[in-house]
Amino acid sequence: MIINDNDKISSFQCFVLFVSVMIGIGIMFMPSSVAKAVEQNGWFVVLLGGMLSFLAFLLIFKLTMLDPDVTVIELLTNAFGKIVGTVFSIMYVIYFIIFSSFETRLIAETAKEFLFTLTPNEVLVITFLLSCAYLSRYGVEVIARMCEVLMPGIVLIIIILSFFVYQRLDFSNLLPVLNISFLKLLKGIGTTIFSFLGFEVFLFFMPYIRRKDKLIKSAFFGFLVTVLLYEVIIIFATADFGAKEMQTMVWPTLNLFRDVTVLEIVIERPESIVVALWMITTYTTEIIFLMTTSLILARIFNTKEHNFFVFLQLPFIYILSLIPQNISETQRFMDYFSYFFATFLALFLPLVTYTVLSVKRKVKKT
Amino acid sequence: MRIKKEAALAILIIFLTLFLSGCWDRVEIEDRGYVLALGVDKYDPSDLNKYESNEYIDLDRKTQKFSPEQKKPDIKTNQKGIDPQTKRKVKPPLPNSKNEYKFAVTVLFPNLRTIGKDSKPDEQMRFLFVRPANNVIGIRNYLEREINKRLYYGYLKVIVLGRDLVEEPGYMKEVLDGLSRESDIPQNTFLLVSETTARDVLNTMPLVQPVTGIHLFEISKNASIYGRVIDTPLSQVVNSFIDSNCAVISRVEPGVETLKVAGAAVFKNFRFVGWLNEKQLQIYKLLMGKAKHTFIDDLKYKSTYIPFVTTEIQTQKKIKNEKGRLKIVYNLRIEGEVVEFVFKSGYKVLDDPIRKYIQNELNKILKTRAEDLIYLLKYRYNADVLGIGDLISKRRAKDWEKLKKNWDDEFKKIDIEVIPDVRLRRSGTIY
Repeated sequence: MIINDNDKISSFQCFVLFVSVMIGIGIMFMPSSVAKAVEQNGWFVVLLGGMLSFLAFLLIFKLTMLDPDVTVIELLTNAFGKIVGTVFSIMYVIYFIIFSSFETRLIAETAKEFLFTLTPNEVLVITFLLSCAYLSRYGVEVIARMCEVLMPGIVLIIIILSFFVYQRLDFSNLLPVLNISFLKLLKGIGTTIFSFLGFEVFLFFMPYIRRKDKLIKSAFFGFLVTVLLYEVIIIFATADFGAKEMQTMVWPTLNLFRDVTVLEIVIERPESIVVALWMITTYTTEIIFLMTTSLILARIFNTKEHNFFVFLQLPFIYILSLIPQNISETQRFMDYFSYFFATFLALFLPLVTYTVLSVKRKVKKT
Repeated sequence: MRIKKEAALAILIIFLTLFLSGCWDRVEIEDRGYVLALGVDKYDPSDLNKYESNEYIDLDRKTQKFSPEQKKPDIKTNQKGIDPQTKRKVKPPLPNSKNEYKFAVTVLFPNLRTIGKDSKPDEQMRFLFVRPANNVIGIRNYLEREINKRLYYGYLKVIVLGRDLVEEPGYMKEVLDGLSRESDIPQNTFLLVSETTARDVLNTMPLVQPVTGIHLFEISKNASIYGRVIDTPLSQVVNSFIDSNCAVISRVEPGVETLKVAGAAVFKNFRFVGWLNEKQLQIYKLLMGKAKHTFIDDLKYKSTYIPFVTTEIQTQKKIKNEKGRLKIVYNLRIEGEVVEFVFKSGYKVLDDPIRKYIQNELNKILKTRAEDLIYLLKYRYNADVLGIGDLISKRRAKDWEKLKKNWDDEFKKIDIEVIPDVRLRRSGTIY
């Protein structure tokens, strides 16, 4: 049995965790929703979105560094008292459960369209969830190691596929540059939020990190890799389809890599590879979410092990993931979710907690 | 203990069913029909009458393996295809004014058994089905009643559109929507417009490659090498329809034992407006920057036609503002070689008077041909297939805001100048 209290993650594993948790299913749809908001200026919006999310992470880092040996749950209790703190912690649980169910539903939807046309949605969801839950029962370190194995492969394959896409691109589709109003730009940044979300799991990982001082560095590189990957995808998709056509697509990223043909025989129709690849990226995101939820629950209920909470949340994720009627409704819910719920929990609540705690400390000192 | 064992077994079974769900919708390769070509025509009621005519039915009976005495039961049906005696549906309903079909779809897929070892020498290499339908992509669901294969569009190579179909913008839209919506269809499938009907094209068995779909696909694929053929993949056609409402789709001519991909059809607002012939297409490819190699053989010196094979082509587009009017300038830089000349003529091709002469004459030829093409596109077809509007919207976004309201008229007013610059570099192995 793995002793969970002992597991610590290195700074490289932190970097891998950042990349794995942020690159999820969101990238499949992001180019089209960005194109709807800002036409061909998606590359700029993604850059801004990445920077803003990094700033949000810095806030989270500041908050958690107030007391690096505990998670944010104890900090919440310190700041708002036992009852309110627990309510906020449970909100985080709900947040991650909803987030996981979005990921699950969307990956099932994608797999159904391109790989398993006759397999029922329910079966896809259950298999995906069970295979995620299998790994999530272990500690942070095991998961970080798993991401360490999977992540470089994914990034590498995306880059290799991009080379083959490159030959049919028309970069004049990126013109004219920045001819949009400030309001539209803001709206565009809003559409990228969901793709960057996930970094807030580090609110709960602080006690497990070996070198706390190096976290900023690994976060910076994690954000850098994610932003670069998103930039490649969005620039390529815009150059390939043009902003107008991209607005009509459901899976622009998949369409981009789908019609890659290399020498007729070597690679033809790699869509199954691409869908499988995205299953893996979603898988890494999902295992981290499942584990984080169970970690929070373990902290709330003060239990030593977190692993039995993993299976406890699966029924909720399963039911929630099957609620939306179709993919566009899922995306609409996702937008509401990221605009209100996520901004509250990833930005607003840490800010308030930070202010309350620092004021309290000052009061104590004086 | 026993209960534990049984529980373990039950859990194992549940897990197996879950983890083996990848095999849920497995289809064996022999059971699949890989559709290689799809032909879409406008439905013509006289077609079905042909199948219902006595001649055809007699032919059908002769080819059946019934003995002549053993007659097929002759069921008379009413208009809806229902037998009045048994009240059962026997045939697909005959067309009348109420239920007229929209499309006649041709589906072609290869006979995979001919590839295997136990193939018979007289077996045909491909299967062709023509059926009336109201949906193009949905045709496979209708064909499943009579074909024991699961039809799959994943390896679709070409889609041929009939001449009658492209006259109807509404039908064209429906077809394009279906093609870009269906997730199975690769977006780099080539689109072609038939000079007659799509069925005629697909029905032809070309000598060199009898599977018509592959034949057309390979010709279109070579288009980037040869100057006279243009490749028009589905994604590109859809893209240009979305961007500028106009598109060019390659054209195919059916022959007896051959199929010729030559010229192109010009579309405006989803409606076919006219053809481009091969020479116009050559210039069109040059202007679009799509030509890699091309072959110009119009130049005449004494009694010899001098063929000019290009080796390198660069196209540059510029927008100039001249007295408040926009002017598009195409700079074509073409390098190439002369592969035939007059034997023992006293002149050497690479030496100066004759080299300059050839270059100047070729420049003139290209310029006049380009002007003719631009005139045709501007005034006859009024279709912006050169992407001028797209170019202005990208480079001069402010000007485009004014122009885009009535672009059809403004397009006629825009000056387009083509400046070819031919350089003769080589002359084969003789000077």
